[in-house]
Amino acid sequence: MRRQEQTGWGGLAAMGFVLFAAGMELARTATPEPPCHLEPPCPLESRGEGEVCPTGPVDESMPGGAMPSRLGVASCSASSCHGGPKGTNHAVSTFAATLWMERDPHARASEVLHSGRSRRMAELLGIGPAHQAHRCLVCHSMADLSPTPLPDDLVADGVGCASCHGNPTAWGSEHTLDAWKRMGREERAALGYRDLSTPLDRVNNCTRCHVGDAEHDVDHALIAAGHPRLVFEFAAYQKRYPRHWRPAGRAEVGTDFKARSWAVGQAATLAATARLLEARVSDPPARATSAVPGGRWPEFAEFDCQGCHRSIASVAPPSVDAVRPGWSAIGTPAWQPWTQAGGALLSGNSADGDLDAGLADLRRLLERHWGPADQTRRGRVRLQARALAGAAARRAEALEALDEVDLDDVATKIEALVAEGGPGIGSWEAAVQSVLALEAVLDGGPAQLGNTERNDVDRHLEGLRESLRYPPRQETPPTLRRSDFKRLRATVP
Amino acid sequence: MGHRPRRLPTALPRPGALAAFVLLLAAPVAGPLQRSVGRAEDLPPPPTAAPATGATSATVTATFKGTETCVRCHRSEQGEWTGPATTLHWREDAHSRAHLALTPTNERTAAIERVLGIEARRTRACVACHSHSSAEPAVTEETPLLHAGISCETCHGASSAYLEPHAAKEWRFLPTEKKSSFGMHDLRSPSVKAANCAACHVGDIGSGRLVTHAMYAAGHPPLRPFEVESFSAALGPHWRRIEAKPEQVRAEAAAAGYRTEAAGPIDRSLIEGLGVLRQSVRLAADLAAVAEGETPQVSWPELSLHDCRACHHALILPSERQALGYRRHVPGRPTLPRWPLGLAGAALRSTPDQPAVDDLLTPLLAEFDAVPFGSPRRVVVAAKGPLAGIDAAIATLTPGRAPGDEAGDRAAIEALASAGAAADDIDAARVVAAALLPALATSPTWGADERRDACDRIAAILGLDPAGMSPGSHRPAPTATPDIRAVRAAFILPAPTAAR
Repeated sequence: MRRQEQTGWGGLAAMGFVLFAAGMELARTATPEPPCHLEPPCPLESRGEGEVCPTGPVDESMPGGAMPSRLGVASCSASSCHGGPKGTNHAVSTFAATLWMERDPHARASEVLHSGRSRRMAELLGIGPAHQAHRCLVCHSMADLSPTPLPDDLVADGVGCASCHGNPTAWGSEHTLDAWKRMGREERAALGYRDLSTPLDRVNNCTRCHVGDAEHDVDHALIAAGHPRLVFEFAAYQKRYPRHWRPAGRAEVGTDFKARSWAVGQAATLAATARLLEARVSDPPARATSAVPGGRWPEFAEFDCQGCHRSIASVAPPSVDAVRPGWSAIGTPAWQPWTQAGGALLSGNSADGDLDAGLADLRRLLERHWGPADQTRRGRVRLQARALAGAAARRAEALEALDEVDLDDVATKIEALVAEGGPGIGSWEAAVQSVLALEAVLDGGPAQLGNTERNDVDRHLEGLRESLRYPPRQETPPTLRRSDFKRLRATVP
Repeated sequence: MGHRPRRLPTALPRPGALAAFVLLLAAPVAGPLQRSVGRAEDLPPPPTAAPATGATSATVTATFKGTETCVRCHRSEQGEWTGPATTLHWREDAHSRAHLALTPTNERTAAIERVLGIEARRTRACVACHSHSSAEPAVTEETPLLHAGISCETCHGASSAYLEPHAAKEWRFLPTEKKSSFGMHDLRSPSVKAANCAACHVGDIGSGRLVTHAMYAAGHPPLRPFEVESFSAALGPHWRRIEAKPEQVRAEAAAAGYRTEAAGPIDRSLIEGLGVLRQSVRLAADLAAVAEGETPQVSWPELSLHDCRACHHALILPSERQALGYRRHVPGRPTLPRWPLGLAGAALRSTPDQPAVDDLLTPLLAEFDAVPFGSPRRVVVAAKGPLAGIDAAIATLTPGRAPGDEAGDRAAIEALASAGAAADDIDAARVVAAALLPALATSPTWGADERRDACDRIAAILGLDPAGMSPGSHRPAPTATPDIRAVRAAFILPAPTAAR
């Protein structure tokens, strides 16, 4: 969040990509998990069934009853639980919260609501102070987990433990008990605990805010007031995420982990995008009294920024070539070019006609008829969005279930795009998605490349990234130089 | 100078193709707008009263006779109103070449034709504004009229009814209402003149004149914001105002009780500013009505209805768009064009008991807040109040003020300056400046140095000729937009201290 604030509207993926902060490989040093060295031994390990967590009983005096106090990071970050001192001689889980507070931008998610930019946004939107506005707090704090307004100290926790690991009301105490260890994934999930072992678990967690849903929605009004646009690619986010866990013993040890993360991430992101579209196009009328068909559709945040936000200063005559590829009707913006570009790389990866057809249908529909006037057309968009969401979600699950995910055909597809100069590579979104996919392909497993080769690859990838970097202080992408892309791609093995 | 009007030959060769003047793009809305007008043999008196104000060519059904018939008389090297100040000057007017833009040798036109898959000369949507033969239901060949560009009759009205009578000596000092009833537009009325220009330069559904967003996207240049007085002055006028005419003519006019223009130059600008805003609001209402019709001929939203810069602005940080603010409106929802609001706002400021322009438009603009692009059914209704309000303001300003009303001139100048100092759109500020600069430059209220400094400051920051705005000096330049706060500051006039 802080990084976003400093650098502009690009969204974390674009920023992470464009600025490419050095990867924070935090937990690489961890050795096999030793027994806890705390004296006396951590009560997490030794308490019997029925005992109460030392972080204290729930506070019934808090607004909303038990909920908010349990939500706080403080519930997890006692020094005897997950907030211990960092060290190599005890388990990462004992200082996970310490790492998180130190390194994770989510810990400062609510801080950004006090910035000058946030204040200006709130003023333009007329929603009162940003750090008290539910609309902001649903993503910048854990307000979405609480039925009542969060007290200030919980807002200050930002996007805390509960945002990803689940609302701990029913498992906060229980997960310290021995019985917890004997519980399976489903039993834990029934208590509200989210297992985050697999890429699919994780990406479904991230997309709530980083893509959006009915409750978490960075719509065009927010963006127009100054919010960065959202550009999410799971594998790139995960790679740059400051880890507070030890990868050993998790799915991350698999050699196909990064390829799997990319493929599952694309499918699940596509599903989330389609679900968001369904929510937006279904939004009830703003004024119940009238025949106004929908209060917010068309939701501009569904469409290509550059489709509309382009200069009209040029007096040069246009050419047919200048019309962006894939436009159905001239002068209408493309639907979600970022997600579409990712989906195009993914689709056809294996025989899945539903996904391909769903994308194509929706795109045709939206790029022709996107006005608010026609209920019937909006109904069709809603239905097709739902169908696409289902197909993409099934695809994500199928990919997750594969024994091994390889991206050879994605690499081939990019080769073809670059070689043919096909329309897919003609947009900034397609180029960036291609680069991120290349990264995932090349990342493969840790043992696939030697150090020298790895350095070469990184250098060339950096060159590709450089050619796609946004100009300083601008949100308008550079004109893609296809020749650069080809040349640089040719040097990547 | 005693050149006499000549009677036209009784047997005129008729142009082959007579254009029935109906709408083009949106056929269903034409019906109720058609109206018969008098014929030549009915003079006097004219048989049918046509509206004298707000009239565009769409209000009458008359036919075009072609420029050739006009030129026969209005081409003399000398003569008081048939002389060189008519056709010769008109030939220098870019409007006379409007049709040339439709030729395929024009590179831009060729590109537009390719992108849209049309042939411009045979496309009514193009011909509607580039030539007055727009009324042809289907343009199947290059008619003589298509060669005429925007010609005499496009502005003065189709001449079939007034052609012969207006050559009569007694025509000259007929009341304008009577002339209008023959289909001749009263272009000395600022509101009629503004409606006439705005029919193409803003758009008019009734006569099928609309540059759609698809046309822009295919390469049609943006319609430029304009201020009627300075634009028409820059074209090279082929007319003289009554006060500039020879003494003898003025004496005859006075003897005949002929009504001359009541409004002075500043008030003309203000009324025309209201007229242009009126056309902008009317376009929204008419388009919404067509979109709501049983068989809609246009799709809604039609993006060209909206402020270009609402979407077409650079995405840079810090954001210029956010610096402008959204004035209580929902951020990020396109509204109507902002550029007519400056001058119309000044007109309302200078008129007693009128609301601020933002307040006047609130019911309509609220529709574009409630739903992106508004709901057409509600837009039709919501436009009625603002249209009535604009009409009321025009009616208040139209009688004019006594000549030499220095206090009134000063109030109008200050209203213009205040509108500039409150502008939230660079083009609105430019249009205001176009009206303000000539008025301020000659105002006796401020000292010579003060006037010059103020004019230079405003002109410099807006990139205008200090003498005012001309079509060539006013290209939209979003990439080099001056800081709106500096623009506003430039409009703050000093208190007049020097000798009057």
